Amino acid sequence: MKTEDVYEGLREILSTKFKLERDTIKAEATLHEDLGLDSVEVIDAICLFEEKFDVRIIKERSEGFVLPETLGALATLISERLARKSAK
Amino acid sequence: MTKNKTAEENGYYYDHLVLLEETNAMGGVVYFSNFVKWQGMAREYILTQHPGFKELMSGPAEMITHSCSVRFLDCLYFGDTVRIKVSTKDIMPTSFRMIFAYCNKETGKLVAEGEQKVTFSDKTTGELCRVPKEILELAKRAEIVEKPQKPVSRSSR
Repeated sequence: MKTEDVYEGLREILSTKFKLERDTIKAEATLHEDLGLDSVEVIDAICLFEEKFDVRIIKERSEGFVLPETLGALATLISERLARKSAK
Repeated sequence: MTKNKTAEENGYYYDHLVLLEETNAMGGVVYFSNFVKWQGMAREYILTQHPGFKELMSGPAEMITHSCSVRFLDCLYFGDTVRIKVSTKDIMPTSFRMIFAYCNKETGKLVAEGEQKVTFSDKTTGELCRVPKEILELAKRAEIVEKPQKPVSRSSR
């Protein structure tokens, strides 16, 4: 799946589930600082992203993985994971 | 103390008889903090509605209260019965909100409104975890189906 499509999927979740204005949901935005999600909402958002794209993100945090800060970087990460999954 | 017996569609109803100890010195009205206490009681009542609630209590997840609030509209007095309707919304993977509508059961008047957000953590690791499926079942039974809302912008925190 193209990164742009993933990115739009993330924007859709953030606007419908967290009732954010789409104009504020930009590739350079961070979930906490820019979009105003608190720590619980960030985890909920990540879980919803995982469900939508059927990829694991949170599990890898415990292995020293650092969550990408911006939405654009997160979309790229998910897109790469999907590509790896398809290649298997 | 009267206990609710019915879980109705889109909400649970918890009835509570106001006791003298719950009123204050200012004309005998119910002291504000009891409304928060009643949120806890109503919440616990809902948990007991699941047949496996005792096993649930010893399960791997624990409920954490993220936030709670009450808005007061009218007074209650000793001997009144408050009927608390509990509904849910914003059901997410690790959290959901409960909406409390407190009514004077005899008059039907709305006396207060409240809200709570709860989340769940793993008892072993302390990390946030998904809502246990038993609690998710209970929450979905009382979910408010909202009309699409206009998005709002949030200030950064």
